[in-house]
Amino acid sequence: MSLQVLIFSLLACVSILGALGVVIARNPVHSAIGLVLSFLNVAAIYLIARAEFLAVVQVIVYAGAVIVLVVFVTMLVHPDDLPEFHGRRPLRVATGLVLGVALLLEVAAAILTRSLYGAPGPWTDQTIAAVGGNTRALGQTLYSDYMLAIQLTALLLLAATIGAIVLARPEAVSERVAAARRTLTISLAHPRGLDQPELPPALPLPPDGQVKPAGGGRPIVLARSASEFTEQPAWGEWRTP
Amino acid sequence: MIDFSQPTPVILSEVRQLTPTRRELVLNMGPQHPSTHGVLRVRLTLEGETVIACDPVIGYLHRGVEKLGESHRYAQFVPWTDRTDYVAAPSNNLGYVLAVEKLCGIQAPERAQYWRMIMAELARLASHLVWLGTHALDIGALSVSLYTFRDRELILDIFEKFCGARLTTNMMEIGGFSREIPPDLPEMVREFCRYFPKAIRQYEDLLTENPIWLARTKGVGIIEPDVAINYGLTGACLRGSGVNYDVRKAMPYLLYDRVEFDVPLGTHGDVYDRYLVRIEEMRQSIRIIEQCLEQVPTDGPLMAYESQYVIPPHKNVMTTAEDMQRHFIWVIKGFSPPKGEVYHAVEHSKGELGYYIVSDGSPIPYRLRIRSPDFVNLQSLPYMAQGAMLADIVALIGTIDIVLGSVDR
Amino acid sequence: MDWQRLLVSYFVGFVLLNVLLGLMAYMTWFERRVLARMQHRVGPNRTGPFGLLQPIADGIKLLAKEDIVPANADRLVFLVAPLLSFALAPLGAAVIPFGETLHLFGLEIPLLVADINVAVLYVLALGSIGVYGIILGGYASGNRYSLLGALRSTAQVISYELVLGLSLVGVFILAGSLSLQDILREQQRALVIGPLTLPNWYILSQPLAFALFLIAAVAETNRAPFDLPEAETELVAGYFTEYSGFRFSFYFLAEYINMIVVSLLAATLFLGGIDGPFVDGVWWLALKALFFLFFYVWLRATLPRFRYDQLMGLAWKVLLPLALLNIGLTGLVRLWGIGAL
Repeated sequence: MSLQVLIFSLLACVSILGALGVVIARNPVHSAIGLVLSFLNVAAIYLIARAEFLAVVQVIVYAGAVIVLVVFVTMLVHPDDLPEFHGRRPLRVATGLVLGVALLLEVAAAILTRSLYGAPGPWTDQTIAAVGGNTRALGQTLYSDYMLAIQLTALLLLAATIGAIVLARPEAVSERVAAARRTLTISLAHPRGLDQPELPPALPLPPDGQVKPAGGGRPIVLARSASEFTEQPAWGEWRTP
Repeated sequence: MIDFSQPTPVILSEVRQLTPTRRELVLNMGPQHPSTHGVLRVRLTLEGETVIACDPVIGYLHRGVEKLGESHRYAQFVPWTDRTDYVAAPSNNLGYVLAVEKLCGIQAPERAQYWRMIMAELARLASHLVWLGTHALDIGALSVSLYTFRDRELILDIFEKFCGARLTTNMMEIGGFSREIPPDLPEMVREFCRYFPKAIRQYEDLLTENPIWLARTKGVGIIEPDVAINYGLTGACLRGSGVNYDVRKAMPYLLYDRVEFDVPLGTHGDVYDRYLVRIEEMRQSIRIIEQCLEQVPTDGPLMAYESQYVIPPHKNVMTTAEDMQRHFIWVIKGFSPPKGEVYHAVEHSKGELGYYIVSDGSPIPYRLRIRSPDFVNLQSLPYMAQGAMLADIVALIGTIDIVLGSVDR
Repeated sequence: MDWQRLLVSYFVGFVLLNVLLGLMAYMTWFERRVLARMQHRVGPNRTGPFGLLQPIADGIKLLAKEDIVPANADRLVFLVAPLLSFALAPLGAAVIPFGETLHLFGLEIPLLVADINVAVLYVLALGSIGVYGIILGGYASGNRYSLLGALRSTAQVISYELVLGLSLVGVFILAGSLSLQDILREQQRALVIGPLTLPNWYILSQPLAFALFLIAAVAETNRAPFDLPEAETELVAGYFTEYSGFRFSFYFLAEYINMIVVSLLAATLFLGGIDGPFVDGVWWLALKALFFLFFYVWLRATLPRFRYDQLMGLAWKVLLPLALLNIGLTGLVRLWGIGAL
């Protein structure tokens, strides 16, 4: 018992330190590292509570995916474009402080007065063992009792995914590239940006054994003398009028 | 239809805007970078991994070879040509030597011309092998480079047998060859010609139908034929776009009009087409070498003799007074070609390699200009690179087939 | 808490860690020799018989090198990142069963460090934290190549981890458990198809999942042809461009240990692990893992490298739908009880 409490205290302390780091660190990447630290310790606390599945999912989803994306974005975005983390805006600081203290007080009150009890659920150690473990019990509950919630969550995530794809329209880049191509190339005689249609398909090739299949589904043309194909490239007209 | 007789006007663009916006990242690739084939520096403006602008910066290997040519006697400059495109030294020798011979109005004997062709084609193979190995390595195919370098060794062995050197061969001389061909050399070359097609098949097995290779090369770095002509591209870069221009066919030099070979032309103008074209060129080179070996006379002079521009044969120097005097003057003073200017181009492995010489009648050229093919070809990199991905840049540098010694001269 | 069991566990873990480190060193030797054979070369053969001392020489060299920190690096993060990578790499091996429980001196010694009932998820979770070593190292180097390498690596690992996880769902459905011990036990049964009696290895019942797992595992460990984060021809060395000496070697070690762990995992999940003809045992596992390691080297010698967008396209447009299809199919088969799998 004492060992568990000791480990728990350690994890909780490091977790709180990590959370503090998130708020204090001036570098956003350092903030993110603090958050990861906090999440990992929370996951370890889940492990102590024998919620292995929850712990692993916490690591995969929060530490592994969410924060990686945060770090990703922070690294990609130009420092000047990041929101100011520690601006001198007293009103904001005060608001944050008040809200934070209020939240802390609420939680403390809830814990200290031990007034937040729900009705105990159907799962006891015996029933869980009968089903065959924590993870299995969780799966069965989720996919039978909470089916609708699961489906709704899935739908929400799908919507979010579609939203993200719409927001990240790849055309934005290709338009810019095409524009850059128009202004940056030395020869403006033949601009062909990415917005231009695909290259025309190869036209009929010259006959009489001068075409040799070369690989990749492609032929090459063998010219016998310099007087061949002088009017046009080997495979006919390049651009359709 | 493209009217090749009319030059398309080239308009210089507005000032390049290379100041990156906040979303862009400027990446200096090179001059010290594993895959810029030496000391090329490419300044890339990236957005994510997409290349917005690409600006090759050259000159890190500039040694003033042209100026050196203007302070050396004609025959002394041959070793310098080795050091421009050092992976195909005999071809460089050949271009220069032919230009000087054209200036002096002399011609090497038939036998020497055949051997020059053989050596030039072997140089083309050696250069293409280096290209293939490094190009594949750039795209990530690790083993091909080892295989190509293994087979390049065979060619270098032939060079070594022929002239004693492997890389900077200093092989061609003005007027022909002053030393006899080693008796077992033809068999050595023949043996190589028997072996080499198998090696090509080996490379093709690894690359040609490989889905990743196709994905990395097909549709990447397209140059349209008219753009290719506008940029002045030559060699496989031009022929990959389907334009039929090969100096060996268009302006035959040596005895290229006596051998039968085909000029491969691409059909889409992308990296993959240039790869296919070069692979086929290797096969055609083998064809040329085999025909040369059949046609070359086994006996006969290797050096033009009748001329004052040519070093006299060793035997005559030792036996006749005139030749000894001629030899003395040739060595001490050099020879003075007639006044005039001359341009001679050869089909180098990378394209049209031209030497332009202005002679004022002194033993030293008044002006020497090297039209190196990869210098010109490299100018198409920004065109190909725009809109490409970062990883394509190395494929594009590889497909142009540059040797910085030749680009910077 | 049973102290005895905990101690035994620690002991097994300690032995395993050391074995892994030794194996990793010889994995580099193995790779170099095999790669050399495939490329008409000899490979290291000067240091000791067959070059067997080469890894030791390399290790000494790397440890003796100067530890350079670039001037504009984020110093603390730069120093910690490789340690993170290295520390997380061998943890995955903790859940892999290396054999039946041994009985020695009246002690029960299970030949695995920890029997977690979500073992496979645990390995995946480790992979997702392992990204931090790479991304932080790349960020902290203050080098644009490193930054690009780190970005590539992160995107790649996140995408392929998804495929990796989904490809395993079919196995979970068949085994009905996330524990590697249970999965192994399921595979030790016989699979009878008509006159044939085969081992119930999941490579037979889940071939698609196996292929997906293999591809995703290669990508997850940043190896050719998916070695974009460290693509030396594009990004010099990617995220560890600025690292030298033993910090570089930590990344190096981590990569090879990851390869070994993934190979062990693949052997356990799909090839029956320690199960084999004649006598079951750890040698079968080693042999199977060795096959995967050889496969890694073989790929590296043969294939060109993907481009970044193609890599992402492959993961999201090809592998992910295939993985979902596999889950659907397996679910249906399981639902209708075909073949009583």
